[in-house]
Amino acid sequence: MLQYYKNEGYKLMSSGNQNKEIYASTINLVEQLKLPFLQIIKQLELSTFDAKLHHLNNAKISAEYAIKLIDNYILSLKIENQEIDYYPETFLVSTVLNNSAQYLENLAKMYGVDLKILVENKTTPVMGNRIILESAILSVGMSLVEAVATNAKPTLYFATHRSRHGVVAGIYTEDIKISAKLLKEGRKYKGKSSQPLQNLLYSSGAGIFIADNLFNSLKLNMLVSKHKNLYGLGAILNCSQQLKLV
Amino acid sequence: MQKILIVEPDKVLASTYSAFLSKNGFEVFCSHNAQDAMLKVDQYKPDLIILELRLISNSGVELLREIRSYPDLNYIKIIILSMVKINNLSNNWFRIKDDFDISEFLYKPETTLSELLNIVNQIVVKNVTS
Repeated sequence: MLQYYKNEGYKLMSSGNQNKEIYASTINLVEQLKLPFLQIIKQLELSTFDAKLHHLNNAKISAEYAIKLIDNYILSLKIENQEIDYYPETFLVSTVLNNSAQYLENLAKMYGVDLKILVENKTTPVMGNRIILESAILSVGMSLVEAVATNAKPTLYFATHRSRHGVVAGIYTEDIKISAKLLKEGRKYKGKSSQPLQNLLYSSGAGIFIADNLFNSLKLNMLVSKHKNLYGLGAILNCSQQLKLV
Repeated sequence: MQKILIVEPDKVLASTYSAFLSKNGFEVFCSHNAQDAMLKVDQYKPDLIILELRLISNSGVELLREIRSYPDLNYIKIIILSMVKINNLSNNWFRIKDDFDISEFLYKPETTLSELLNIVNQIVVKNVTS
């Protein structure tokens, strides 16, 4: 009987923690969404004064990426609640990076950020889920575009390289030294502060936290990575053993 | 021509406000962070600063403190145009307003471009006549 109550107690505690996490993530996302909505409002207001098409185009881009962010958040929640089953597959990371960079092109152009792909020649296939990984990389990209936009020559690098633990994939920049401490504090203040990553972003950085959840759903940890003279956010992926069996 | 410095971390919003105010007869400069803002204050000697409180690395309040620490910059009028709601600052608002001589506090989502222009015109005209 005592064991039964203990188990129920643990379940309540863990569901309490889960609710806190969902609360923090939701507040963080909702705070982030103010920015694209504000951009849309101001672009539309401005277009009533000078009737230039690029204002309407910018409003459209802000809306599209806000919706994509919401979609990625919903995906992370559904995976966490086991409403979606995903099947591991073998794929090349370069495909994911190319797709993510292509998708991010319009947002990057709006902010004046250059996107580059850096793939080492011999990168082995990895095991995971391509769609979830793409959503995670894209979410990171949305935040980092904001972060680097105001630098002199803002560039984001979609890069993959080998490490002794596996294949690292992520988005990097030479403009900002992203530190592990920054990420750790951001995770601590998510949902509590409107700027949990204050030294990186003026917004709430929801893209980074949504990516965090998506990486976790793949049993991966999002981490700060250094590649040559670049600093970035990404994850270590497991190499696929399938081809070795052939 | 009256000079305005917009301190706004988001490039898209900064260019929107800048384009609008330029079309309405002001000479506008933009900064996206506190360090650059101080350099531009020194370089261009603006008549008015429109300031977002949520900046990268520093808060807008720190920038306010720095600007107001120079007596020869006291002539500059400051409008806060921020994503931070005034009732989130609660009692601190009155202290900030008095300590830093803020002309107006505007909540960005609820302030249209036209309203901003009206307020800017009122403040700038008042400044010129005084």
